[in-house]
Amino acid sequence: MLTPRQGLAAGLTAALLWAAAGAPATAAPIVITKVRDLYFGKCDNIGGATYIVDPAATPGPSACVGAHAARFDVTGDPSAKVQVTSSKNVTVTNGTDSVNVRTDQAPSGGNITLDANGELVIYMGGEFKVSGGGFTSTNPLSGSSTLSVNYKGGGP
Amino acid sequence: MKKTLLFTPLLALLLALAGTAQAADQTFSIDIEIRSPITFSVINPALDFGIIESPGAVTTVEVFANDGPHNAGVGAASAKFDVSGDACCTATVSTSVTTTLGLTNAVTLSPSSATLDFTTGSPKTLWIGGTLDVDPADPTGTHTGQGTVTVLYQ
Repeated sequence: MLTPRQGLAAGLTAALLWAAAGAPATAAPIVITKVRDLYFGKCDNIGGATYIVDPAATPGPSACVGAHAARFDVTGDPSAKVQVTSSKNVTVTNGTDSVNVRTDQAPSGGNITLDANGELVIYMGGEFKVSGGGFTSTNPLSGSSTLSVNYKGGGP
Repeated sequence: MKKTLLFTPLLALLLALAGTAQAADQTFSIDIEIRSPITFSVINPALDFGIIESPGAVTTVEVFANDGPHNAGVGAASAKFDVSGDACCTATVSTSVTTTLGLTNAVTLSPSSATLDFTTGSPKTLWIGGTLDVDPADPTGTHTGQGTVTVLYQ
């Protein structure tokens, strides 16, 4: 018969062996580094105009002067599948005027994978439409959103 | 014995939970700057070389890109606009003749290109002048054409 101390030691040993053999593998923590924010640039105050920033390294032909997509550098386990989420609609305001920004992310969909080095670059663009009457104020508009990345299925 | 067995599954469960990866979040901002569109206020819509006597030889007349005086006929005047733009930016000016006067020689507009710097104030006054070689063969009478001035943000 084991003493209480011997019994505890045996139990700890069994627990460690069970954890090593049957528990999910430990994954590297996902780290998101924001390289830059989403900036639509200097947009003309024309009622009905739509301005678009492509979710890419270059903003595209429908962007205003100086625009750029947000960029995030993600690291985690090599070749791991991840889920990337963010708000599709964000309100930006200057206190006088408000406008809805529809965000556009790349890559998107349900099949996003970190590369063999465990790295992934995510771009966040978007579009907004100036109301028919145009903006009342020319003060800059600003808002914020959150990008979330997690492993699919709880781990790689 | 029984007490020892009770510890085992509970401790194993705690070790398993400690190995699970957590999601990561990153907040980012979305910013828009609004720029006032470029607008024209027409002060004088016509570049007018004035009344010119038919010359004996080819003679160059010039309307300067200002309020004058000009080296042209009686009543000569430059086209004149007040152009407004946003204090953020500069703009480029380009001019072109879209319909000629139907004379022997063509009008050369001045400036053919320019820059308006709205960062130092708005509106900016823009004069459009030009030069014309008047030929003795040119018919008498009034001759009218059209030109275009374009101002775009850089």
